Amino acid sequence: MLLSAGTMFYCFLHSLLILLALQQDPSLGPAQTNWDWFVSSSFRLSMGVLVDHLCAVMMVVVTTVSLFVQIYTHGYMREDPGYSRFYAYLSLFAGSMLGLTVSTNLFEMYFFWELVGVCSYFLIGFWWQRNTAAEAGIKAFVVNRVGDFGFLVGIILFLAATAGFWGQHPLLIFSDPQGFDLAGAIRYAASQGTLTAASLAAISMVMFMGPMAKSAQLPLHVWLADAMEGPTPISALIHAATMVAAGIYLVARAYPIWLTPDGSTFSAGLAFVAWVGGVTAFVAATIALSQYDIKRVLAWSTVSQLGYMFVGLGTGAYTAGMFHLFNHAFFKAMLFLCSGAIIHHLHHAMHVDKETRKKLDEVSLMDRMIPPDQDLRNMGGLKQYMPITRWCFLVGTLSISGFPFLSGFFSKDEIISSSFKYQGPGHDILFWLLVVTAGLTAFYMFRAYFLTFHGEYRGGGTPAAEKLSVINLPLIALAFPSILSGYLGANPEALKQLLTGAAPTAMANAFAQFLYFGHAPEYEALNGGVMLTSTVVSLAGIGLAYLVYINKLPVHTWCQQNLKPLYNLSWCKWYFDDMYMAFTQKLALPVFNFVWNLVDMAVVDNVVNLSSFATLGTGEALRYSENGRAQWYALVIFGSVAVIGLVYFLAQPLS
Amino acid sequence: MAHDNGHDPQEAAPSSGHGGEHGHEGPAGVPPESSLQDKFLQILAAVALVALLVAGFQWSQTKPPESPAPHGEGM
Repeated sequence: MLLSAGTMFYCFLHSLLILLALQQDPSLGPAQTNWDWFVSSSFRLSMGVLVDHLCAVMMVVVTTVSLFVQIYTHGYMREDPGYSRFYAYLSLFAGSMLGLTVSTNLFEMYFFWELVGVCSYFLIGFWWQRNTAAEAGIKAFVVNRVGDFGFLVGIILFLAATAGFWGQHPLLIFSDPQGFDLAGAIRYAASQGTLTAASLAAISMVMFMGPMAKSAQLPLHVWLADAMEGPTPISALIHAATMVAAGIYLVARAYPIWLTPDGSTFSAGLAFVAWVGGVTAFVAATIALSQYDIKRVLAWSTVSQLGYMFVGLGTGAYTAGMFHLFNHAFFKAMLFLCSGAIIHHLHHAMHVDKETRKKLDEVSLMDRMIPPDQDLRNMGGLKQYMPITRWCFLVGTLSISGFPFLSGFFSKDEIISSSFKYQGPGHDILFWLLVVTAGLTAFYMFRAYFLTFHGEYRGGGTPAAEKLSVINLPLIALAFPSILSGYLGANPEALKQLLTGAAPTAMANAFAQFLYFGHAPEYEALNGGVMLTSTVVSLAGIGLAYLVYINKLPVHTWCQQNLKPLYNLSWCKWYFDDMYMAFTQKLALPVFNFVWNLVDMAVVDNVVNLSSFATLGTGEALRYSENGRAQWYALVIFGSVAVIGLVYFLAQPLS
Repeated sequence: MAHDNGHDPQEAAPSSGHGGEHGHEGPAGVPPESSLQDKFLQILAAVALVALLVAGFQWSQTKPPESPAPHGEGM
């Protein structure tokens, strides 16, 4: 543990220093080193380290969250027999994620992409003795293989389209001062006619299957909620803040592939990204409305917020998409760690009395199908027992809800503004989808907050009073960036303009000045109308949650009774699992069975049997010739020579 | 495939969500709460928070360029 956390602390300090160095002197980046991996006469594949502004931001996110999660893990997992194994996995994951972050080319990124996937699989199934955890691990692995297959096919297609460009330069590298990088390859292939806008869009859509699975976007989103079977520190680190953001990072890193060949953001590839993100944000938010497992509410909110980030990138708001990733990582990691602290606390409270625990287990697991210490219906009134966790959870909830002047407010507003200005297909619908989702987000997050911390305690036993420990110190530490990180993307003068009603003008901000796509940072004026709309909708969501869960307005029961199909749609997660199960059971397995019977049993097996039969028969026939008599062998040799000579003679043309 | 609500009660009952079964004495070598290791990690968290705040403040002091172009987010 000390080695793991100590090393992570060193990485954390180092990433901060890199960020500050690039901030002080932007000309230091991008810096990269490549080493040969495979070299042939026709290509050169390298592995290396690329450090630039985008990478520096991502490294800060990865190392900060990893460090606080490692500290938290010591308190959370100290009673677990797999404590050391858990730290080993944490370190393996952190190394893999940093490798992905500093990758210089698509192949190297794919390598680390798979490695973080394997870590995710190990950690989801960490408590593999439980069937649900083992099954969730397999589900995540299978769904991600589908996405990764698309990612690999996309890489190969892109390589095929730009094959003539690379020569002996390292293949598929992201950035090169001489222009031998992805953008250069696209320009070259377009000029040669081997790549058109349509074919580049098609390649980008196929490649986008990777981010779709890794970042849990429709229709490959089904694994993330089940991944909550893993220990909560993992949910915070991998399934909220870092690994699931790898899809966003890939699109941002290889952004030229998603543009048109001439570098415009009005491409079919980006429109696809924006729409997948927008629909996912909305669908996931509707699912979160009715869930009772605190971790799954947060998981669905992660899916939804990742959708926002994709909308940012898809509508050309590159900086806004990455800014939301940056802010979201802090407050979502904190929210998950808060949920872990609650579960940890209730777990011990409910074990005080074995009879109570047994009763809760019966109700929660057999009827409600949720572990009792994760069930929102067993919580309530925890603000008096867990004041530190309560305040941190409230900060995270306000931030994700887009409450004014907290971090989520700034980045989410930028994304909604960019969808408002977006001129791509269905831009009006996309904008309203995001606005409605902002309201839903505020509602379901405050629903979770009120059900957990307000009202009467509904669980068994009596929770002990919370004290400062390694479990809640990381929460406090993460609360600071959850409040303050948004100000990196805001200019105080621009906010002043907005509040005084002056005509807004474009002003610089620290985040956009540091991180941008292209050759010069450019800025947008704040859109007061959009900001007001999204804020009012968010506040309405908070107000409605207050009326329903504090003032006990019977909306929930009314919805269950009068809007049953809609309620069931949300409760059953839009039936995606059922559809996939039906597809697997009714279509895929029968087809596989048929193919197995036809090809494997009838053709392959028979060919194998026939060849062995032929070998057996030939052996049987020939074994009589092996009698050990030299005269017989001489006769065979001379006879063979005579036959060959005769054939040769007869084959000569007559003259 | 695992479903959100597809817990097997018999399977999930013993450990129910975190940290393995209650009552484990824990792995050998892992000290109880309030040990030296806990204190070290608490100090580490506090130092990390200070470093993060200093870096954030330093970053926020970025001087704006003299004439920013007005359009085209991030492009």
